[in-house]
Amino acid sequence: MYRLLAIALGCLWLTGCAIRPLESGRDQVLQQTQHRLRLDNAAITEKNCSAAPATLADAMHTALLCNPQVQIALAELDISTAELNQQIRIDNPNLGLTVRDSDSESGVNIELDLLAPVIDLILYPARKSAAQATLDRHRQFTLAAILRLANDLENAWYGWQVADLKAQVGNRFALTRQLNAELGERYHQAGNINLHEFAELQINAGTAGLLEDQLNIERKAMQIKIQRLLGIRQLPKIQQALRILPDSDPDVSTIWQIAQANHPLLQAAQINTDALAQSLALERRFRFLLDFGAGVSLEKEAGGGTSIGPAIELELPLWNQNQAEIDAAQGQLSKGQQQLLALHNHFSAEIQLALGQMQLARSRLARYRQQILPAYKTKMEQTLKEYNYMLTGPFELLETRAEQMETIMAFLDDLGSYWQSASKLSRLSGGSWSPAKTAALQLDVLAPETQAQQTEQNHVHTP
Amino acid sequence: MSTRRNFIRDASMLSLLATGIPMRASAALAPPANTKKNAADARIITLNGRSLDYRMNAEVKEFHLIAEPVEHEFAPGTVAKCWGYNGTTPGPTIEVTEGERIRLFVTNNLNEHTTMHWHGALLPCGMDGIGGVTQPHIQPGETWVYEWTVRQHGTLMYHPHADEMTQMAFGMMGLFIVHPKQPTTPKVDRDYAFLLHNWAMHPGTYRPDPSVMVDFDLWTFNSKTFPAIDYLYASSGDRVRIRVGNLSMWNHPIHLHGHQFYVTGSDGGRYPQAIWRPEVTEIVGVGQMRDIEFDAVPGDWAFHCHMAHHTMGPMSHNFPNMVGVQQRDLVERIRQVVPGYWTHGENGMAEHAQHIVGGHHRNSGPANTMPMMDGMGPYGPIEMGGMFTIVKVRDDWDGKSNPGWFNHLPGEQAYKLE
Repeated sequence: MYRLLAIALGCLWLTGCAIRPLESGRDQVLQQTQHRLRLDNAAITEKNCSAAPATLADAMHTALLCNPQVQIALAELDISTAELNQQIRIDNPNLGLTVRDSDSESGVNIELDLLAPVIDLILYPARKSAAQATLDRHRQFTLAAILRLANDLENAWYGWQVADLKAQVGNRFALTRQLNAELGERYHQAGNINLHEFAELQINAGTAGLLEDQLNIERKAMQIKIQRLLGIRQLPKIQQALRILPDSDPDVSTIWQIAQANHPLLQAAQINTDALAQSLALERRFRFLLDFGAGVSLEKEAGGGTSIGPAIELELPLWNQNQAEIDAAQGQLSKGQQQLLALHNHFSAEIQLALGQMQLARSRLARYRQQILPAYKTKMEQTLKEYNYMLTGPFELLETRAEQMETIMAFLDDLGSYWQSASKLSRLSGGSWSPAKTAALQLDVLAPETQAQQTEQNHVHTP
Repeated sequence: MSTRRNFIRDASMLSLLATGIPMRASAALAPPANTKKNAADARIITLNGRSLDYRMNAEVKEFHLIAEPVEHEFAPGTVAKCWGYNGTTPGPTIEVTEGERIRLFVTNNLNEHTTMHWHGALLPCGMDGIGGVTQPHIQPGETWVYEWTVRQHGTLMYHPHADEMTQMAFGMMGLFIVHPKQPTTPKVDRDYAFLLHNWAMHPGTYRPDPSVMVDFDLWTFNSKTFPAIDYLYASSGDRVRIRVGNLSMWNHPIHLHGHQFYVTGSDGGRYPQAIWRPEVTEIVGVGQMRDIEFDAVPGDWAFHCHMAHHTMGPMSHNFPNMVGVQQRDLVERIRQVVPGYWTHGENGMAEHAQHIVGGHHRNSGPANTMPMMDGMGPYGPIEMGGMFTIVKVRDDWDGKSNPGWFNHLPGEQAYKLE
């Protein structure tokens, strides 16, 4: 009897000690992140947080290593894991001791009870499974948070590229209008245009200057935003040019299928629904097993006799058969299913919107590239030719250039809109889709010095 | 109110509508074939042009004018889709002699109806060619016949009197010269003729704009602009007559250098000598004709409209005045945003001509557009365009070729004070 009891207690002890805690899986999360972002594994650990990245891939590496938010997300995963481990651990055994002094001289009466929470042992596999599901969800949330961060970075990167280019064009735009005003001043001083005409040129120059200031501030703001997302102190300098569009865009169903299979939030919602279904099944299966403990009870009687034997403690399901818990689990499952459905609807709509924005931008860009920009190029060339033959004045010539630059800025806005929408689509796909690599955008208007030098070399000066 | 006169007019209109247009069919009335050329006896030298061939049909001199689209070159590098007659604008010059019976066939090869008005001619009213008034319009593909006996001499013109704004803006015009039956004195040795016209050929375009009323781009002698206008040649002492007709929309003070010419005639013929008047500039009003005569003096004498802008090529009417504007220090900065920018006109517009004739900017303008000023003389850019040419008079002119630039005699040329 004693031997059997000792074996039972030993097994109970060993079982309690042998419970294996859950692993947070932060390394897997990081690996998945790298995989989704198509990053080189080695580079992450080698990244130097004091160096400013020049390309988007570099920037992703830097952000993963240097942005505190990434580390915070991983730490939160560790915390969640610890809390879950705490929740699934088996409660410690209860030891009860009762000492009673007898009226007789026979001594004291001692009762010793040792009860283990057997219910924990019985339900342990189910509890661990539920905790694992919760942990899986947390991993997906962590992955989603990091990917969102990376996506914010990608989005800001495109925004920064556009802001940088727009600021460059804007500087030239303002310079053009400023030169027109300076030219106007010369004409006015020579007595050839009146104050009204000169004032018009000054207003145009001043307005362009306001825009230039605004664009410079926007570029600086984007630079600071990138810096914050990278988690570095240096202001990054772009060396990677904005790219032209890929030949085609994906269709909605392709992205939707990729999103369903890969997006962490959809995965988390699915895991949640599965776990809630499992939880409901458990509640139903164990609806009569409310609380159950087992152990050993020892009593040393005052008269000197000692008795020892097994003891159990069982809650009798007479008035409470866990119906409320079952109802709650049923409600949770239903809620989870609806949340999953809502999330599907949300993603479906967002994918369609992102693709719609890409297609709109593509359509607008095509119009710019095929019609408006070539026409402006032609107009500029023709205006210069007309100027050469005194058919158009210098003010119209410079203003035409200024208008061309304004149009290029609008074009850049649409190009940026395309890439930011593509970036959004990439995020909606859980990072599992990315647009094809394309050639860098070339903006002739930003490199006229070379042409000017060539013109200078070919130009014969008037004596 | 209906009157007897209105009744008759209205009745005539009804008759016309009822019976159709005037029409006569006869094998003898076919237009002269193009192979029957006979203008060898032409006496008029039409600048950049020619006289119209004719044939004699019994006692009637027959001409055939064909209204049609033509590809015209104002000067090398500037062509236009014009309308004209027999392949040119202006159409070939018609030469007849006072007292002749003439028959003029007019075929319309345009896509629009037209008519032919014989400007200044004394003729039966029904031959005057006023669309809707003296005849129905000549519809595309139709040939109409005008016929009368010439009872005058002088410098006349022909042009449509249908959709005039368009058809004349496109170049439909020509000279109609009637020589006197009896020779007049003094005898004319060289008889030049041309028409003045203006064209709204906007830079970079290929078709004249008929809606323009004031701001024209090209000013022409016989649809040519300097430096493509023929020179006028003569031997020293030759009696030269220049007949000028104006079908443009401006009056033109025509000025000849080095001569005091006489205004000797118009569409009214050669005036009696008693009313000849000596001039150096004669205004030829819109729709007018003027003949001037002079005895040629050796030299290269400029001959042009004295409206300064009429001796220029195309130029913007909204171009800011550049003279006196110091901007050369801005050029390098402006080239940063407009490569190829250069300055011209700071000290006057002659700089523009220097660049053109110097070749630096010869072809730097819009397509199909000539420069504002052009022409190179023996001493530098001529800086002219439009209605400008030169009368070249030589003691030893061979009678057919360009003698080149004039060699001034010692002491007869301006010199620089050292």
